[in-house]
Amino acid sequence: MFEFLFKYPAADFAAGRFVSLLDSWQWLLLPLAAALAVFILFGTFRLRARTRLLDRAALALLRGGALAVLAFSLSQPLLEVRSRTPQPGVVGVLVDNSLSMQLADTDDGTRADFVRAALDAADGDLLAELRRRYDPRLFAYGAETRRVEDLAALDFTDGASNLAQALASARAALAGEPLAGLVIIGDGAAAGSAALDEQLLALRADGIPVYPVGVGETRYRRDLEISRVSLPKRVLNGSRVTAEVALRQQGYAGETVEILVEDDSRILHKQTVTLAADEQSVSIPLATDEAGARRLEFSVTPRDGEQLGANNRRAAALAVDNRRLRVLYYEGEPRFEMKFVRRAVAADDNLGVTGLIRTADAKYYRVGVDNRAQLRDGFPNERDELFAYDALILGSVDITLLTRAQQQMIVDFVSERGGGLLLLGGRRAFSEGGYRDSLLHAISPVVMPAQARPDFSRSSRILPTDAAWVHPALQLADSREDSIARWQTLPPLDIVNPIRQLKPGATLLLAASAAAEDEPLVAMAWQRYGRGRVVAFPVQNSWLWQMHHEIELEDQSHERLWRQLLRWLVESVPQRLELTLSAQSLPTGGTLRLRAEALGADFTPLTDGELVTIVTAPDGSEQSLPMAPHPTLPGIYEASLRVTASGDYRAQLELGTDEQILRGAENRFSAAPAGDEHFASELDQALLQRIADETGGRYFAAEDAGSLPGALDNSQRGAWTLARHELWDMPILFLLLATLLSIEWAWRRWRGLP
Amino acid sequence: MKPALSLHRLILLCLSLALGTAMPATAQDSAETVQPPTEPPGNSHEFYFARGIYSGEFDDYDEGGRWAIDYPKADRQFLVALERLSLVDAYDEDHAIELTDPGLRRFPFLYTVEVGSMSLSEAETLALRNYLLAGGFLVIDDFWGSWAWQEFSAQMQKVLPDHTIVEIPPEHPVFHVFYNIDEVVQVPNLRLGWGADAGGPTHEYDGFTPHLRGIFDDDGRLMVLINWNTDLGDAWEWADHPRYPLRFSTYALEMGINFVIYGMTH
Repeated sequence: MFEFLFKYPAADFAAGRFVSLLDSWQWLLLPLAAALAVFILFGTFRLRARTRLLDRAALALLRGGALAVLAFSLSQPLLEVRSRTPQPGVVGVLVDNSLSMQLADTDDGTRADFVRAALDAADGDLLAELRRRYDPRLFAYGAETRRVEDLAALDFTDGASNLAQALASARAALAGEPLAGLVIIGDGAAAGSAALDEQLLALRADGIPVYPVGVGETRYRRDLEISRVSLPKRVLNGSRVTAEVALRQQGYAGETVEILVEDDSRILHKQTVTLAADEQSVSIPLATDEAGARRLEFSVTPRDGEQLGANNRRAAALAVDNRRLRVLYYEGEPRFEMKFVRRAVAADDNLGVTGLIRTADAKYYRVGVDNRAQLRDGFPNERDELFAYDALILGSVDITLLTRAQQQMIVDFVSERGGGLLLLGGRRAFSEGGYRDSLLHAISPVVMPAQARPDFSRSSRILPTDAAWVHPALQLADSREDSIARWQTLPPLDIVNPIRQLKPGATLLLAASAAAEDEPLVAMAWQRYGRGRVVAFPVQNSWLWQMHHEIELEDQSHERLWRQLLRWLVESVPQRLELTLSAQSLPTGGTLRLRAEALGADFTPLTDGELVTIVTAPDGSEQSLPMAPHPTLPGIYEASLRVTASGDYRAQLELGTDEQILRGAENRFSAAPAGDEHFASELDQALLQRIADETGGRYFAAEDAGSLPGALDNSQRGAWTLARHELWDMPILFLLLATLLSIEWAWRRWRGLP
Repeated sequence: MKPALSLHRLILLCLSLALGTAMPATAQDSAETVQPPTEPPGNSHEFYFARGIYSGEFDDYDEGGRWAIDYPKADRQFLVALERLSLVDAYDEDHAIELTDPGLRRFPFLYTVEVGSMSLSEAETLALRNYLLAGGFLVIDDFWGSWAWQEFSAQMQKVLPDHTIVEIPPEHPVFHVFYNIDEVVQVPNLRLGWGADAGGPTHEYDGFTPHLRGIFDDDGRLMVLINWNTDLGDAWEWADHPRYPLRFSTYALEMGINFVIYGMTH
């Protein structure tokens, strides 16, 4: 009977949901229809003004009901019902096959033991349940992903776990299948990446839910880990560098440990650290005294009871350069600053400062030139001539001494060449030199006042900001405490360029304060501009830190400051051949990606170079790896290398030109079976939860994995069909309409109404 | 010779003549009365012509120290030329300062004369040594003959015992940094200068041959420049005198400007 009246079985109405085929705009007609109905009803009653209230109510009810039935039919109602097809859905099960799964931090032993218990072909509860309802397909993922038939193929020895690639592979392998969802069983450790984010977007677009099952502890109970080491990529030999070491600990707060830094087994530095709660950053000052590609190892001695000792040691590569970098120092008038800057860096074999001093109108004196022709006509007019330097110091140089073309060349020198620019204070510098309206103001880290103050002069004490305490250029002693003490006793300097404002993104390193002036002036600030660095150092006479009577003869503050400042300014200046490796340590068998940037002699991208990378394997054998030009990026070349043997590798770019073979700096990387798997190896529940949330799946802790198949059943995916039944012509609607209109007719007859 | 250099020399000649007409009233045959040292004038200028005041014999004329020979007129007239001919931002007054003054090291260029009569105290010796080793540049002028040399070198031996005095070769940058100067000229005092054009002697005592000598530090940097058997200061002082030969004052001003610019850049 129900099916006769309603066309479809009652169960369909219970499981389905009503939808309408009306376009959204058509719903706008509903208020119109309602208004029409009111008009009809109201009109009827108005004409029958003397009709009794009971009759009016009954007729309104009946006619309104009829109109409602009619409106429902016209709205093209549908019943949407999902139904399972006889074929079972497919579930992709991705199992983490990496080394971190061998860690014993689950109730059942190792993480791998949990996997075996859950997925064993014979008695694995989870796999059995999945098989009962679906067609599960197993994948093992590590550095690579492969399809496996059963657990026997898993050995949990991969040195990496590339979850992004695993999801992509499974999605590709199961394309076209009635996929109910993907299940990940693993720790999610060190798996977050931009590539993963891309995969999650794709999964979300395809509507494929992911159900991660997290295995392991989210936090070890007792562990020490060097979770990160940050070092500059390259420094000049003899430079000081600050290594930032991130140290994580659990269970050892308040204890002291010693961080040891070794360079090929030679101890470089030891530092005792008191462990703070959770994670802390430790700055380690290091001196470099040996050129070449260095591999520095940072380690902390394992403590009693540590759950994992392998994460107490971490390596970082550092290229120690021994080239002589060239600095051009241009002064618009003779100044003692030139003498003392050159004197300060004279003993530094890696820095060559060429001075160009305007001694009279159109008369220049050159000092430190390599040949008679160098800078003969004053400041360079040609790009090649300027770009041959690594850094430029502009002293008291009135802006009218630089043509617009020369200013643009300096801007390009910084932004394209990646050169360093140091703007020194002076009576013809900054606003007082007319720089406010020049092209150089745009790249300056400070806002130059609109109004020049040619008579301004103030003796000011120079004090470092918080950013300066960790800045490698501003360490005046080997220890931070001594450096701070030294800064606090340096005599005041004169400032003739009052600058108070920084550009957005600039960093204030030194501030100048004087008793007469509450608001401090900028004494040193820097910012990155394009590929280079720009430093503003608006002081008149830093040489007082060498000559002042309070400065002892043995004091090296001035020399040290200038040597470190110029080294820092030029160290990151890109060379003509730059090689970047995708990783410094990778699992044996993994793939290293190499990316080279090559510049021509004029420092524009080299598009037709024949570049090779000479890779020296641990056994000393050499391999010449051709670098292929990037299809769209000029000057960029790429290659990839499968690393088959464990050990220490070296890689060096070579460019053959007509005259010579140009070689880039040597790089080092290493391969080990474990790769970086021991680091950040705790269960990354947050990442797995995010994967579930972003794909519409659900995260399960290991102990709740039994309810996973049930959750898959509720998935909107898999071998389901969607049926839509039209409801406008249900017999019940016609019956209802006819009944309502008949009752109205009968009522009118009975009550004698027209 | 480059045109620019010729122009400079022309200006120098004109300047010397202009000084001669502008300051006749101050041109006297004897040394000026010594003024007390001015207060350190701060550091609003890049260059101060600091004249070193040292202990030693007194001047015959007015019982002032011999450090003050030609002071302050020579200093001021030299500064006029320096400012006019170069871009050095110079304080245009003289600035005499004692060697033991803590402010000495704010002035990396120091000029001292008549050093044959110098007799440095322990404090002065130490202060001058520290000044030089820290980076100061000392120009010695106007002392003549072997006796003065002996006295002076004994004093310098106290100041810089591990350093020797050497001859500055003509190819050294100090001869070429601003003006190209080929030889060391014996610049006479005013009285000898009057007769020089007539073939009269230009030397004093047994100082027949002029020398430019120097003391270098361990890294080869020139710390001390020694004008021996020549008197640049007198030529600066009497550049305005109608009877003092122009060639001497021209040379003295050129050499002095070279000293300053060399001292500011090396």
